[in-house]
Amino acid sequence: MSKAIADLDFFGVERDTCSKLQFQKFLEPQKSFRGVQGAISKINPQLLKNLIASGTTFSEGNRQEHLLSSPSTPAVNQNFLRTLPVLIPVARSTSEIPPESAQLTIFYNGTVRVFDVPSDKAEIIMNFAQTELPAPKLVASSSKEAGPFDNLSGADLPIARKHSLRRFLEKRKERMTLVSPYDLVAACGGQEDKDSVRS
Amino acid sequence: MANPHLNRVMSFGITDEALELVMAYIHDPRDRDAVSRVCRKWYEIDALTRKHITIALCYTTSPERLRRFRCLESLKLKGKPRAAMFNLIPEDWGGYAGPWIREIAESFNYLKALHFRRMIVEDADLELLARARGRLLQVLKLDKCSGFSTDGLLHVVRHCRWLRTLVLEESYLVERDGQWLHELALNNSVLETLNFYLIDLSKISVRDLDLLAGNCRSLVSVKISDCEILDLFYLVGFFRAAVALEEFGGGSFNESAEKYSLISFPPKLCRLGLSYMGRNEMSIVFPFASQLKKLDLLYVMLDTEDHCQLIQQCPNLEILEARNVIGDRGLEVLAQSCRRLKRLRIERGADEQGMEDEQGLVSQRGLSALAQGCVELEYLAVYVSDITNASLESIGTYCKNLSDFRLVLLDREERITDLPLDNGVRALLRGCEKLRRFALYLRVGGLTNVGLGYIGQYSQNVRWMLLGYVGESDDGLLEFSRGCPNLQKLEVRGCCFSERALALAVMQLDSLRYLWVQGYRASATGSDLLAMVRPFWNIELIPPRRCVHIDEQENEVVIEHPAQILAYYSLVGQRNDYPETVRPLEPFAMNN
Repeated sequence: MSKAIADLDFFGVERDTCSKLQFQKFLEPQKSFRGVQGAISKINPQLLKNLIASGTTFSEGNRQEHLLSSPSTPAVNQNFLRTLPVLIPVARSTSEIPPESAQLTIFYNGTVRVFDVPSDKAEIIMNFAQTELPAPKLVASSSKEAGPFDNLSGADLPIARKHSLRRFLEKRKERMTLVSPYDLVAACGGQEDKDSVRS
Repeated sequence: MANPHLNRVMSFGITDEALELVMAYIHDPRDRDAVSRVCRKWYEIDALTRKHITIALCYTTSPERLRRFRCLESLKLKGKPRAAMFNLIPEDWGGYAGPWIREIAESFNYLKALHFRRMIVEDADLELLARARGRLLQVLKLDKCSGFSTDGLLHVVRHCRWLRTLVLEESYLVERDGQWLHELALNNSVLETLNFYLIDLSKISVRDLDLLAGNCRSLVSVKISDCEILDLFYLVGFFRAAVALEEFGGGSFNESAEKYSLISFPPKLCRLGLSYMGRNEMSIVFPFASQLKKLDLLYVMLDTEDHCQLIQQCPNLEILEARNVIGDRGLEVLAQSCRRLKRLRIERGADEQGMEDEQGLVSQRGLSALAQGCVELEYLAVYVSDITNASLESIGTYCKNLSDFRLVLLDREERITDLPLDNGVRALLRGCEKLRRFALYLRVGGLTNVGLGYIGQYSQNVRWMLLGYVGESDDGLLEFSRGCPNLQKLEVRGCCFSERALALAVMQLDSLRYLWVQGYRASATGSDLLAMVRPFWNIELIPPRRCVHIDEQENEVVIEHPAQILAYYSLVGQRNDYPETVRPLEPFAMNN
C-alpha cells in the first residue's frame, strides 16, 4: 500500500516532458528564476506547511512522487517546469462512515486548495476529474465541432476603428459639410490636379 | 518563520540601512520582485522602499493588498481591456477607481503620482482624493477615463495646488462650465503639463489659458481640445506667454489662412500636433520644422503631397503619427529625410470615397523604403492596403532595434499581392530580436497554420500579442501555443479557433496571465472553456450584444458585437461588480 507520508512532486522533477525547454532553462538561470516565480507565487506557504505537517493518506490508484525537502535550492529551480495536476482526495479515515463533510485537498499546477465537501459531492468531483484527464498529445478538434454556433462568426467582424480616430473623422465630415456641403472633395484639401498615378 | 542565521547569511552582514540604500537604486519591477523573495528581511525592505507600482489590470489584486507598499509614491492602474479604445467593451464593464481611491485616502501618505487608465472615476472619488492627498499630489492622470464631470475637476484644482501634471486625455466627462481651468490658472504656479486633448470641452475661456501661461513659468507641455473657441488665432497671447513651452497639441483652424502668420511660437517648441491644419496654414510650421522631434498629423487636413512637403523639412524627427494618407510616397520621403526616426504610427483614414487623397494608401513599397532608411525604428504600427513577404523581410533585416511592431491589413482591396505571409513573418521575428510587442491583423488566407507556428517558435521575448484573422484551424493555435515562452498577454480577434482549442492553448502558454478573444467558434454555453478552469484564473464572458446608436444623419445604426472571452489571473477571486452585460464563468454553475 501507499506510504504513510504524502509524496508530492511540487516541482515536476519526475516528469520532464520537454527536455529542450529544460536545457534552455538550465542555460538561462534568469529565465528559470522567473519560471519559478510563476508558480511559487501561487503557493500559499502556510497552507503548504500545514499539509506537509499533518500528512495525507492516499486512496488506491494514485501515483507516488518524491517529496522535496528544500524547495528553494537552485538545482531544483533549474529543473522547474510544469507542475503536475495531482488530485488527492483526503479523508480522515477511509474505514469510517463518511461524516457530513470532509476535507478535499486539490493540488493543481502549483496551487493548493482545500474544500469541505460531503462525500457524495467528493465522488462527483473525483469522477469528473478522472474523465477529464488530458490526452498525452493535444488533439485539435477543428472541423468536427458540432453543436450550435454563434450566428456571428469570425468572418463578419469588421476591423474596429480607434475611438479617437473615429471622433476626428466624424468631426471633419461635419466641418466639411458646413464649408461646402455639396463638394466634399475640394473641401478635403485634396489635390486639384489628380493626374498623378499611384504605382 | 524567519531563520536568523539564514537572514544574516543572505544579507552578508549588510545592515538594514545599507540594504535600504542599495534597494533604492533598484527600479525594474522584475528585479524588485526577485529581491523581495530572497528572505523575510529583504521582503520587508522592498515593501518599504518600493516607490512605484503598475497594476496592469485592477482586478488582479485588491486595494488592501497594496498596503504592503506603505511608502508608495506612484501608482498606475488600468481597468478596461484595451479593446475599449475601439468601442468593443460595454461602458459599464467595470474598472472602478473608487475602492482604490478610498484606500489611497486611508493608507498611502506618500503618494505623489496617480495614473488611472481606462477606469471609471466619479466626482466623489476626485473630491475624496483631492481632500485627502491634495497637498502632496504632483501628478494626476485620468487617461481615457469616464464617469466624472468638471465639478470633480474643481475639487482637484482647489486642493491640489502643487500639481505639476494634469492629464485628462481622451476621457469622457460631463462639462458643466470652464471654472476648473480658471481656478487652475489662479491657484497653481508650478504646472508643467496640462492635457485635455481629444475631449469635447468647449466652455473653456481662452483668457484662462493666457493666465495659466503667465502664472506657470515652467509650463512645458500643453495639449488642448479642438473646439472652435480654441482657434489658434485666439492663442497668440498664450504662445507669447508660454516661453518654456516644448509641446503643443490641439487647437483649431477656422479663420482665413493669413491670420495665422501672426502667431509666433515659443522658441523651444519641438513637439507639435495642430488639429485641422490644412495646406494653407501649414507654412506657419516651416520656420521651426527643423527642430521638430515629434509631429502629430493624425488630425490634420493634409493630402499626400502636403505630408511629403512638411516631412522633408524635419530631419530631426523622432516620432511621427499620421493617417495612411501619408501614402507610400510619404514613407519614401520619411526614409530619405528622417533618419533618426524612432517611432512611427500610421493610422487608418476614412474609408469613404473622396474623403482622403487617392494616393493615401500604404503598401509594401513604402514599408520597404522605410525599413532601409529608418534603421533606428523602435516602434512601428501601420495600417496597410497591400503587403508582401519581402517587405516584412526587409524590416527584419534592417530594423534591428524594433521592440514593438503592429501591422493591420485593411480589407478594402480584394486582392493582396503576396499572401500568405508565413515567410515574411518568420523573417521579421527572427530578425527583430528585441521585439516585445507584436500585432498582426490580417484576413482569411493571410497566415497559414505553419505561419502561426512560426510566430510561436520565433517570438521568444514577446510579452504582448494581438492576432487577428490568422491561422486556418485549431491545429495552428495549438502549434502556436507550444512556443511563445514569455507571452503574458494575448488578444485574439476574428480567428476560427474553437473554445476547446483556446482553452488548451491557454494551458500550454506558460507565461500567459491575460487573454482576450472576440470572434471565435463559440458554443451555446461556453462549456468547452471549462478545460481552462483553474484556481486564480478568472474567466468572464461577454455574450453577443446588439447596440443601436443614432449616427449624424439621424439614422438608426445597429452594431452587432460578437461574444468575447476575457480571462486573467487574480489573487482575489472573482470580482463582485459585474454589470448585466458580463457573465462570469462559474464551473459548478454550468451543471445546474
